[in-house]
Amino acid sequence: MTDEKSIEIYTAAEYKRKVAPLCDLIEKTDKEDPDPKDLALLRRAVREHPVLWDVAGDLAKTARDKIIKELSKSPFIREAVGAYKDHMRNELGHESAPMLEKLLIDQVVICWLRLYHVELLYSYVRSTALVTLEHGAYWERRLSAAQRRFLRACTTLSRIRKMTGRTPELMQVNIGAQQVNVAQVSEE
Amino acid sequence: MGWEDRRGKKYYYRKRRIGGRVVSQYLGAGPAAEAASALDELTRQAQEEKRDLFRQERERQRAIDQEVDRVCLLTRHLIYAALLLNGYHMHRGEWRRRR
Repeated sequence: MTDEKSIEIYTAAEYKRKVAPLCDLIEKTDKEDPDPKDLALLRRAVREHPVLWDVAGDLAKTARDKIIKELSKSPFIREAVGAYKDHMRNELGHESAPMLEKLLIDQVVICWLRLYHVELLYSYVRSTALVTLEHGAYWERRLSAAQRRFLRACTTLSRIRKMTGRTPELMQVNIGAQQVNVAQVSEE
Repeated sequence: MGWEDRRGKKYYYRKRRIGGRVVSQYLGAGPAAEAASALDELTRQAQEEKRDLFRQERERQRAIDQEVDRVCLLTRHLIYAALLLNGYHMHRGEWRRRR
């Protein structure tokens, strides 16, 4: 699916229409003792609307491609980043991962791409003599948000892996002074 | 910043904000004032262009962030749904298995 097509199909309204019923059911069933009827409805929503998984996949691909396109005009750099992104996905075990983890791996990769993108832009802005306090503060905020998003994605992947019972080997990711332990799929 | 009419004659004043106060600098009425006025106009235009570029850049960054956030949000919803269907529920920020 091309970028343009994905963007055209998943407008904000369309996205809301597709996802809103799922959100309602999640809210209803997120309790110690949920109504079995609501659980059945949620099951049906997830099973009978596999389009949601496709939407997630398409959105992820669109976002990945867009960030890579924004990163540089050089086809060589785009290719290199694209290749590294694929390598990262493989390292995180995308190919053999179950559907749920695949989504989370994609999320980690997108958040990493965005973080890398913002870091590049920020260092470029800092290197120019014309940087103002306003610009600096703006990019600091962008960078913090990208770091938070990436750490959150890593933590979620790690948690879900623990919950799904896959024995993780711990690897460490350092961003600034923060350290997060990220689960890595062990060889099975 | 601008030309001010004083007793039928135009004089150029450069106005700047210093420590929260607006300070006027008198630059006269001759060719030097004309040159200062033209220079100030160029500076103002350059600043306006810079502000426009920054606005456009912010808009572009916001659009990218929105797209990334949309992916994260849908992923979160699907993970929630899958966990709820597998007998988990959220308790004070932690997932717990239903008894």
